[in-house]
Amino acid sequence: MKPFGYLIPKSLARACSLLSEYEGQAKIIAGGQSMLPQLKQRLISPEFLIEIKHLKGLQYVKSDRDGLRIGAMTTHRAIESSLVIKKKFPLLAEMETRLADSQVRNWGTIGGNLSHADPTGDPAPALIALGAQVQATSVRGSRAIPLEDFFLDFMTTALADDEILTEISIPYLPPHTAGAYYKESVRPNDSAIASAAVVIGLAGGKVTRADIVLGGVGSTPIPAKQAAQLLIGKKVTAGLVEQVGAAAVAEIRPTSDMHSSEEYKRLIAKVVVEQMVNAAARRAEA
Amino acid sequence: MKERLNLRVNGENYEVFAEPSSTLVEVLREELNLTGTKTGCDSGRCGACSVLIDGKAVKSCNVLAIQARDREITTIEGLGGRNGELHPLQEAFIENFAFQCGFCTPGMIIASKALLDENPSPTEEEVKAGLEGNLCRCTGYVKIIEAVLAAPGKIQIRSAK
Amino acid sequence: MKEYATVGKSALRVDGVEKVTGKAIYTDDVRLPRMLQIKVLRSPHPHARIIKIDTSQAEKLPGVRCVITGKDVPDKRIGLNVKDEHILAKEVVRAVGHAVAAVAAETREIAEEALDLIEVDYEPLPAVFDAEEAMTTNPPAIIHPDLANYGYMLTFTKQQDRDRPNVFNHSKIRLGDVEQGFREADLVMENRFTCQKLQHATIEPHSYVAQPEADGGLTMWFGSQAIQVPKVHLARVLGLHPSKIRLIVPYVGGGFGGKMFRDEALTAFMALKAGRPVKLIYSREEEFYRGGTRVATIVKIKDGVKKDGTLVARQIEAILPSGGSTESVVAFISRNCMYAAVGLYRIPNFQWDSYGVYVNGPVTTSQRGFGSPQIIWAIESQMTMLAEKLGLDPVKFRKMNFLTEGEKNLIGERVHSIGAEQALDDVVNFIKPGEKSKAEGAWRKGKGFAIGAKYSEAPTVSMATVKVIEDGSIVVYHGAQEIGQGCDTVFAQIVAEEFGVPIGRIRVVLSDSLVVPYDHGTQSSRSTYHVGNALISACRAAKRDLCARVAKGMRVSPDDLDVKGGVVYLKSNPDQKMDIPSLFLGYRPEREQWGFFAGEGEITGSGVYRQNSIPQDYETGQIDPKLADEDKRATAFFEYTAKAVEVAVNVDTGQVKVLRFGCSTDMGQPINPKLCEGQAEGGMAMGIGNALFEEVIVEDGVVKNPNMIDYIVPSMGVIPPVHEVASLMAPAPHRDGPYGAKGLGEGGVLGIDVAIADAVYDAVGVRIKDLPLTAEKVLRALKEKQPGA
Repeated sequence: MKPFGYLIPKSLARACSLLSEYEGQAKIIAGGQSMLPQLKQRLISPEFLIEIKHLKGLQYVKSDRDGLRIGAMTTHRAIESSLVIKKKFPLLAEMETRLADSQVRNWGTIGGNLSHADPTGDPAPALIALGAQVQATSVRGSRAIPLEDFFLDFMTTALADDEILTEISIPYLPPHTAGAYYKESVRPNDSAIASAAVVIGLAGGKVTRADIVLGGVGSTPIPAKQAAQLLIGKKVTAGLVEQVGAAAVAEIRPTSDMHSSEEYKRLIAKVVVEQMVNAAARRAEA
Repeated sequence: MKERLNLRVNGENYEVFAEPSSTLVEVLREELNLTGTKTGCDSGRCGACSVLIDGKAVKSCNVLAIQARDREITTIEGLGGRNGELHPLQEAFIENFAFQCGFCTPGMIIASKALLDENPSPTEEEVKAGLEGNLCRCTGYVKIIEAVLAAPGKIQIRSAK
Repeated sequence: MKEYATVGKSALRVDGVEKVTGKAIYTDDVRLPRMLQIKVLRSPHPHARIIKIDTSQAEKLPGVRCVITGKDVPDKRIGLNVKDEHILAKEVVRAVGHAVAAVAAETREIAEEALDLIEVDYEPLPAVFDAEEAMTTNPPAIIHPDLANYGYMLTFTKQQDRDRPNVFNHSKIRLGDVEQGFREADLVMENRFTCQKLQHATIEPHSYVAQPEADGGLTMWFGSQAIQVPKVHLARVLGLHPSKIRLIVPYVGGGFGGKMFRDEALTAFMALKAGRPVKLIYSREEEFYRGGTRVATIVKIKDGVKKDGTLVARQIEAILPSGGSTESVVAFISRNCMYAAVGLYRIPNFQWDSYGVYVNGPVTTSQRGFGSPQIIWAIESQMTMLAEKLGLDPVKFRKMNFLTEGEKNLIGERVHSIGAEQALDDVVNFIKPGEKSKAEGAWRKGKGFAIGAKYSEAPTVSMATVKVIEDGSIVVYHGAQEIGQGCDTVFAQIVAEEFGVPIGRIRVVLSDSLVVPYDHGTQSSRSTYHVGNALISACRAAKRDLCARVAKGMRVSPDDLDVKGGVVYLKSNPDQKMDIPSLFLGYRPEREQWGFFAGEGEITGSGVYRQNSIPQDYETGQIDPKLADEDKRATAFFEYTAKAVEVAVNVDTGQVKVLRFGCSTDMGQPINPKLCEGQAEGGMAMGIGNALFEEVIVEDGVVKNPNMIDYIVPSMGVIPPVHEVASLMAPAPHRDGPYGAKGLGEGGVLGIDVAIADAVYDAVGVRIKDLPLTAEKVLRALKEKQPGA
């Protein structure tokens, strides 16, 4: 790694002002699980790192009236084992068990993961499907960004250079609404070849809400809106699920990587969407 | 620019001088001469560098030493008793032939300890999931899993004593 | 099977406590005062002329102590079988990763920064990456134009194919008349099998430490599978007497054939030039370029068989691509992989041609099987295909063609110690191929099995010494290396058995060339057999010495005495005995005082075991039949190993999961059953990786995945449940082995790729002849078989 200065602000406000002050020269470091490999390979060489992982004020899982708020510095491990998350958003806890490995989850944070914006990342599709939004904070104040609008391009987010992702909030799911997440990968916790997060709400056996978000098949997570729309007002049948799968594939933009061709990713994307639509629908019924 | 850094390792306080860009494994091995923790892939995948930070397994090649300040760090050297007594997990590894070349072993044992501290009676599936981050090229994992499944019994006997 | 006190029991490993406490020392743990760190600059081009190297800026960087390039290193070439490399490239680089310069600096960071400051001007040359293209008489690039003048290990001088400039070896077997055999056959089948480049991916990277000594010599610590071989090469290239070179091998973090002479010479040379201790630890990327990769062998196999299943003719052509900068023992591999085809099946007409070929790719070298797994991938796949075509049971088809004890194999050796039938029966009973498992959703299940033979090389020699010391303990000196296989434990068991003492009374000395006797190397599954035999001789010599000393005092003949359990006793009246410690002067047990020397010098015994080998004819590959009738042979022995798997294949994604794994191995006699299981289980994981996930992806000489994230080795999540893994033993004692033992380990991955491919075929009807069986490849094959499904 190229040497850097390491700054340890005592508060979030101080972190924001440092980030502003060192404009262009500094990067925020959370758990560093994605950042350290980049530093070692010299893909990035900031002159300063500003640590925020230690800020206790950013480590929480809080229940509000309308939903859950998760502090950006909450570790993956804390999310995986949180009783309230297991109860309210089981697909998040399941998603976390597929993320990297226990060591990475023990130290890495949800905020760091989302800010890194790896298009094969596990949390983003699941959180987008749940309708999450994030809080971006700077010296200029704080603003909410729907997570759906947060990922602009390959490893590029809507955060301004002086903004820090500080919170993720997720609205509670109404009754008969449930989600599921699955990724196809070589080893169980490798990067997604294709992943799908689906949230389905039912009323009288028919779909009233559908969110389908795919990961690993574009430069960002891809909400398959047209595919999801096909479900609205209908009963979930095998034939419909197949149509939805095919429609979702039409919305994705996968590129070949060293392990999977574009064609293969399309085939897998269809399979995981179909499986997750079925899984979410089953759970929503229960 | 090297900076002063205080680390607490295996119950002892140390003061080192290190670059902020030094990883925890580098400081443990080079500054503190605790060479039990190994560098295998230096990219956070193989797990040979696993240590405990506040009781949780972490890959020390993928953590900056400075991030580990004010924490309780435990390395393989800190596992046994003060009089050289082996931890029941270490005994289980020996009795179950759960290592061959031994290079992945310190990290494997540390990660196993973290697993058992959190889940004292894991199933085979839980052991596999918990140790997915630790690679071994020699054993094929079978005897490692057997050792970790055998350890809870030994831990119980030891705490009863 | 005879019962022994220690041999045949699963004694706990003697290195156990060290390894579980982190106290075991590996090379990177060696710290020396004023030690410098080495980083190596490697070529980005697969084939290029070096026009100019400017190191001046690098030399000026504070903390840099020594910079070397090709002009600084000796003109003498080095290489294991073909001397085709310099310590650093001199005029031409022949692979991406070929070393052109090296820096020794105070820290690794400074050394790395210095590399960035070295300027190299290259003139790219045409390169050739495909082995079949490279081996023609007129290839796109001639990689070693001076090949005819390189030094060769003696076995090979005659086998240089002068018409084909990139072919450094051509080995042959000619038995009978294959054309006639094909004419007689009822079925002739021909197929081409290929496999991917693999890497050992040992968790410990290649590691070297060298310290210059005051007498102009040096001491090295390094992770290695041999010390005598590197010592001889270093002495030659550095112009030092062997006595000035001390090589120490601490614990090694895995070898699998990859730690046999890589950059010892570079490290040693740098130490001498810098005048300070130096350390070189490969980055994980360097492991893929320089650490050595498994040969991606191309095998063309043609078989002729009668409709009752009798094999009448087999013709094999094997093409083995090596790396550009060095053949790195591939000459030997390209010759010795023939043994994979000769030790198991009876075939009256057999033709073998194997070629070692340079291509401008990353270094290839030996990897767990020394070329045999790739040959067996082809042979056993075709055997199952033949059985199916003929409508024969694949187990019976194999068994009817197995060689039996006393028959001659395909190079003319008389077969002895062949546990093949038992091994095959064991795995077939485990997997029950006839019984089909039910499908589960998109998962279809299938079963497959395979069997192969792995030879152990000859001629080789091992020596061993034992010393009985003042408390009656025995110190063991042997020249093998503990690379994880447990050899130190096995040797301790043998010595404990010979002396009739518990294993705790044995102390094994770690590998140090000034201390331990000669050994040919920890390879080819040879250590138990060779060192074991040498140890038995050594123990008997030491016991004779003990008896001679006691005989004088007891006024009996030495032949009347024996040694067991720490005492020397009269055979006819065991109560008349002497405690071994009492042989040492000054021994006073009542005062807790140990003795200090035995009256007439130390009590030692030395032994040597040489496995002789008779030569094979260069044209026919056959040994002299008269010598064969005297039970003389070319190889040391064959390990027979059978594998069987049950898999589940997902018809929507192509993913293959291994549900059950069984293996049975004939290793002659297990010395330590748990250690034998360890080899089988480790082989299982590696074999699953080789079959399904692992591939070193190379494009135009560049490795696309030189790290442990994108080079996918099995993790815990991909092995079967532990109760579905069976490591069985089918020992057929060998008359020349210690306690009947042969060896195992090399056969660890043998046949697993075939078993999995056969199981996939059984499950979903697609036959894949190119490894690995990635999910995408399987899915494509499924779609081609049933478009629109």
